Amino acid sequence: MGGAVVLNRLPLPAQLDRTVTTGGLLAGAIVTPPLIALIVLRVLGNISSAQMVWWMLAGVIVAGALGAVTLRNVVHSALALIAAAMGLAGMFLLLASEFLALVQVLVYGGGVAILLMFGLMLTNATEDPVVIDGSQKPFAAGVGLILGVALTAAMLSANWDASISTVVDFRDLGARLYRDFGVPFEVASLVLLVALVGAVAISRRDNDDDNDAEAAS
Amino acid sequence: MTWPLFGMDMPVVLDLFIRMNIIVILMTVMVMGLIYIERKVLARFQMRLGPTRTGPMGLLQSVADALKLVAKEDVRPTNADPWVFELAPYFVFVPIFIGFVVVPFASGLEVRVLDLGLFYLLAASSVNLVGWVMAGWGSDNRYAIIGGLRSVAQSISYELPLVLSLLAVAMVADSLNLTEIVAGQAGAPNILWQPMAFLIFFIAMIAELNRPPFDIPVGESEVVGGPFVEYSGIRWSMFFLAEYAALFIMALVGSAVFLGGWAWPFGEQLGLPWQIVLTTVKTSMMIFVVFWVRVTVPRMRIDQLMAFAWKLLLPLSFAQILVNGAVLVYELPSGLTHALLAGSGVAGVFIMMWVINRSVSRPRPRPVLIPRTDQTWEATR
Amino acid sequence: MSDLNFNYALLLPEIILAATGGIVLLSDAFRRELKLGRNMLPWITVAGAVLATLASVAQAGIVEDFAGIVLVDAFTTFFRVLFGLTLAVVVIGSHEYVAKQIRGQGEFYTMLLFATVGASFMAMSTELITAYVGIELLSFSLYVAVSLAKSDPRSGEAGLKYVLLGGLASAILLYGLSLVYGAAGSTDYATIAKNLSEGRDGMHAPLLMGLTMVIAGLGFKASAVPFHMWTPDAYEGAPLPVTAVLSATSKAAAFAVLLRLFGGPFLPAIADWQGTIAFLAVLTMVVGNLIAIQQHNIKRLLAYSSIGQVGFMLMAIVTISDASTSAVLMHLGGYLITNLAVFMGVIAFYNQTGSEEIADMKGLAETNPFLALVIAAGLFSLAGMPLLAGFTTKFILFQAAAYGGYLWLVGVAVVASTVSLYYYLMVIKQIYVIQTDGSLLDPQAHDVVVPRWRLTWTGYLTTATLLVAMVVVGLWVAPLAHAADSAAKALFG
Repeated sequence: MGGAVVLNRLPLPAQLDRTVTTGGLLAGAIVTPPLIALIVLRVLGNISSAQMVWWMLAGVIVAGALGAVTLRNVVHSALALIAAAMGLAGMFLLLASEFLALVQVLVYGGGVAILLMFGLMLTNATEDPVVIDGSQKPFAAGVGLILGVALTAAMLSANWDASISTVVDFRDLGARLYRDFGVPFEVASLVLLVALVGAVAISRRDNDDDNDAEAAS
Repeated sequence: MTWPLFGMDMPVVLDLFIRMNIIVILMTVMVMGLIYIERKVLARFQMRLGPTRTGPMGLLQSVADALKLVAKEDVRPTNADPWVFELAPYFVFVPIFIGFVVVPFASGLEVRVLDLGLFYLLAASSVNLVGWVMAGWGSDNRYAIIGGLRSVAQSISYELPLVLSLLAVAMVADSLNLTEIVAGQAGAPNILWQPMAFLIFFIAMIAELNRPPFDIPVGESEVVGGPFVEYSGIRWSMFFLAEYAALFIMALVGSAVFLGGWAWPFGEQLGLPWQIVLTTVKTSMMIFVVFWVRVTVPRMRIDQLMAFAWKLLLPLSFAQILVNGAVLVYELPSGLTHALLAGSGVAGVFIMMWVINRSVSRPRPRPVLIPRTDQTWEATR
Repeated sequence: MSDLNFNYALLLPEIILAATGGIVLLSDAFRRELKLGRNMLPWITVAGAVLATLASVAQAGIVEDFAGIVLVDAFTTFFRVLFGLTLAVVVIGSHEYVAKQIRGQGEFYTMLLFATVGASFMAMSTELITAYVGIELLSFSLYVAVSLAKSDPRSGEAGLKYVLLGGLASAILLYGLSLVYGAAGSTDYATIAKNLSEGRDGMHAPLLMGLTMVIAGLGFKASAVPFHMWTPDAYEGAPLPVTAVLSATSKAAAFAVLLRLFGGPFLPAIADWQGTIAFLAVLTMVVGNLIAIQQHNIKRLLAYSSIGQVGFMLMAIVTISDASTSAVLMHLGGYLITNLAVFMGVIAFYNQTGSEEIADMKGLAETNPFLALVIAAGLFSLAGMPLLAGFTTKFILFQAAAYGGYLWLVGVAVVASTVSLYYYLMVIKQIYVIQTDGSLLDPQAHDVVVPRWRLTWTGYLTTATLLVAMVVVGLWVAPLAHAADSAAKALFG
């Protein structure tokens, strides 16, 4: 408490107020030890650079995903989702698939998340949108936990192939995507068309000029 | 791991650090210069003098502005969301800054050459929208929210023609590597083969930058500065910095992709200084035209803006891509290929002009605003 | 350059359907400029569906793959014809309903057409990604179509529930598919089958998780219990023709994918999933048929009845083989005809009365004896009464399951089927035994004169055709059996 009082008395700029300062310090306190540990491990040579980056990205993704689910404010959740998507893009970079990483940034960072926030702002811009939990939350958490444990166990017990670190030329990627897998690509375009038309059809008001059916026939 | 910089082998981290620092300094100085030039150009168009008193011919005006902004108190509204409000400027600024990594200033003068350079640039700069939305929502201000919404709608709409027009050029250049695209234009700039793509790129660029006549998100008379209403001091100057840096980078990319960058018309052998002069001249031309458009054309209405993007620019850029694909896939003789590409482009430009002219000169019933019971407003015929 | 087969003619039926969707959408949007009435839209749709069916019939003898991604063979043709005819029947039978009850007719028919395209791709794909994208196309179209009822709040609610749960199921399915891909090293069915039969050390756990999640995802699409919760709500809220499509096309397509997957690539791992699906089958039969007893709304009743039918059909997946595949295909055919007959009858009933309650069907035998006959015959066929399609195909299905060594499962199925007769008879009692004024029928009293009403000609056309088809399949099952046999042979080589 004393610290807070001193903080409020200090002639600091407005942005260095209690919320931001304590929050920032807290986040720093949580993030710094693992970071230091990773860097120490790297310097000692226990892990490779790629592994170090992998752990950092994993931290970002998990934190972002947790934030997206647990934060009370929906816009904050959307922002956490963007962080998770960006972490995933980093994972793609680590797997030497530059193109996928950029697509991830362009589509999820620049497109999907933005539209999500756009929707949130349009529907509930007047007051802070707050998540209301149902009574099923414990069950959902339990199922999620069981599923997570089962998946983790399955993944860890599996005997995956050694990682392949060849860089695929994006021309080959394009040829595979647009020629070899042209059919699912086209079907996916139909899916998008359906989504687009459906969004318009559902959100349009009821009073579209239906009565011209008689006039025209 | 080392990397050559100015003829020396450097550790890769140090090399990156130096290059990025050069970019940061260049960007800041460039932005201050751009602001000064814009004010002078604007003044010239409006038959006044512009800044004259700060330094010789007002040259130090931007420095004075920057000093004032840095020294100004940075205020946050009580009800603003602290995190979103505080972090928004970085989300606007950093993506644009990251984009400079691939921009080729001259032969061998770029931070890194990426195979997917053009795509990287688009992906990186698309993230700055997050910052706009955050600024709009976090300010807890109606004008800011409306501005944020408008900016999202506009940017997402115009990103498609922008990307597609660049894609059309990338098809012709057979590369997404910006350095390769520029080097491939030693003979003739891409604008000759893709005039319509250039036009679409230029229009979409202005819209992406939220500059007049597409400054709907920040229009002073409508939303009093849009998402930035509540910002002041250093944070506001970061938005400003990002805006002009984006203008700079877009002009650079446009001049590199369409106008031949440092390669046209003299090729690679001319030496670094001349290449930089070429890049500067072409970029300045682009920027000047943007200023020129700003003072000449009045602001558009949001429905006109949307209709323009979705009904005109998007179909035409798709058509250009289809034509390019059809022409390039059959590997015709080079002369015929280029004739077809250029012909389709010119035809596209004329179609675009014709459509614009027709819709502008058509007598248009005024939209009537009818209050509806559920408090929404909508234009009816 | 890869030496893949790019014979675009193979995709002709899907191309026709998708193009028709585009035409419908555009001719709705530009109907003023084209001087077209909206009453043209259903006929364009029907023309597209019939053309696509003809095109797929024309490809009946072909066995050819397109780029190693989709395979056109007897199995594909069987489902293409099934989907095409379903679409045509639904649209013909319900266009009056659509004109009155649906907002955005152009979008509605487009969604039905695209749903059929997605269903076709589900049936014909021999590659996981294509199958998944096909599932998504079908689901997305139906999410939209479910929510398009005019001024019915239940429709929006149903659409929301369907979209949320469907999205979750798709995510689970996709996760499962990715695990299967990781364990089998390919998305191509043939390669998966090869890799799984060779087997790899230490990949059993991810494969098991993947298979379980795939079963859960597809179980949702086919509405198997415990993944059935969306079914009654979506069926009740959806406009009637969409409910018909949900119970016909959607279900058949889900089974097409199940058969292609579990009859092909997953067959080497049969020990890993047989028990799970048997468990699902039992649960689905019992729960579906028991809960159906309490329903008052004919759509909800049919929803639970369709869940019960899914339970019967899942038996064939448990005992998957040449014979049981043929049996389940036949049952799908018979079920589709029967179900469509009931739905066309209910649509005609709704057009006249505006009610979906079973109680309001009282005295239908007096007011419209023909419709009463159609609905009653359909319900009897669903219950599995002799002389009708439902009996024959169900009998063959049970027989196949019994030969497959799952006699106890057949026992449960027979009991469940008997239970199902009860709630079908409840409806038939309303129609035939209760009079319009609510009293029991008194054969001696002839003085009650009830005003009769007639169906429209399209109503007569569809219901009569389906009634005849029901009886014909019930009595002379050979053509359907032949088609199903060749389709099953195509699957098992």
